[in-house]
Amino acid sequence: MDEQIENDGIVEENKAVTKVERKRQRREKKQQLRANEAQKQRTKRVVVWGLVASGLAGIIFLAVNLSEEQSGSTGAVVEGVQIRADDWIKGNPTAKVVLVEYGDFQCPACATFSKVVEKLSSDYGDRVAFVYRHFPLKKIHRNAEIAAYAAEAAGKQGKFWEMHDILYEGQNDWSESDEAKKLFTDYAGTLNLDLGRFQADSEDKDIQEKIDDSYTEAVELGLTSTPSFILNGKKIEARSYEQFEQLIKQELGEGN
Amino acid sequence: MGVQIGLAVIGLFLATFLVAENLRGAIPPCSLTGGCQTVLGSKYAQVGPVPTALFGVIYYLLLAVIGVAYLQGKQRGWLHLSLRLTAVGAAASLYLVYLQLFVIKAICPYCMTSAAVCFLLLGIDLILWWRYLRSS
Repeated sequence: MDEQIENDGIVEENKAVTKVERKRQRREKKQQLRANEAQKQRTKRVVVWGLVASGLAGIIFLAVNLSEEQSGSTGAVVEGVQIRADDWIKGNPTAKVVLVEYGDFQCPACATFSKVVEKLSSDYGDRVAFVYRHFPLKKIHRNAEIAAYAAEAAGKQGKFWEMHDILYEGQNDWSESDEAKKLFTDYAGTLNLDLGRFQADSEDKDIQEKIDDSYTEAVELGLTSTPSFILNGKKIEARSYEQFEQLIKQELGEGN
Repeated sequence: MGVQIGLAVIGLFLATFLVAENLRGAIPPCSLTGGCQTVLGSKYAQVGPVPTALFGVIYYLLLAVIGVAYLQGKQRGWLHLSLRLTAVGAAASLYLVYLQLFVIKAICPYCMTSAAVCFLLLGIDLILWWRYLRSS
């Protein structure tokens, strides 16, 4: 009897143990589920943010690439661009390769490119003719025309390229200045020009006509921006010294 | 909010392009019609040594991230933060547009598009906020 009771007690105890055990298992299962759910959430978040980050990085990469991609190329053929008697030429005037620039002294890009052309002319000056023609964008650059007059006036005294360089170097000073003319006269002074003659030539009708003609010609050639470069009759798009060099080498037959 | 993310991506693209141009020192050519070079070559294109467009890049990045964060839990805080940011962005854009129209007197299409995107973003966030207030 006593034994029986004892046994019952053990059974009871066992029952209790399994109850506790079952409860514990249920709890564990729940926790497991919850953990799985949390894990899933976490994975989802990682995936979403991973996609977002790579998407945004992709956009940035694309934009940077687009900015860099605009490389040197040869464009449409432009008719009738031969060297003329009244052209300003640097380098070898009888060279078979001719690079014509249509420039605007008040255009910041032209100032930048003038350095490139400078280097090109010192490296290829013996084999290439570098021509500068005026395309003053008077609609957006208020002092572009009078700057061109000043360059031509200096040219009358044999200092066109010197004035060309000074105008680009001092572009920031005179671009939006009401005193531009006075500054140009100062530049003429530093070039030791005859100032009376310089000022008279700056107002000269022939010079103004030459620049008007040059402007009209540029528009008729279909040019819409400065600087525009025409290499042996073909409009070219080049953004760096290397790109210019490559195109010039092609024309020289040195290709690569 | 999806629209906001889309707009932020467009803005991000524009701003990054402008920063890349600025850092490469490549000045776009002067065009008979456009005034990009005038704007991008002006002293307002940079704040000290930092290209102005870089602020745009950071701004659009933040907005895109906030947009995604909001979509995940629809928590009010993100919307509120976004609304405040777009208000600042629209105000900054208004100033930059003013500079182009009245100080530099030239217009850069990229910059104007970016400004338009900023105003749209503020509009969208105002609508979202108003809807939220009405629903609660």
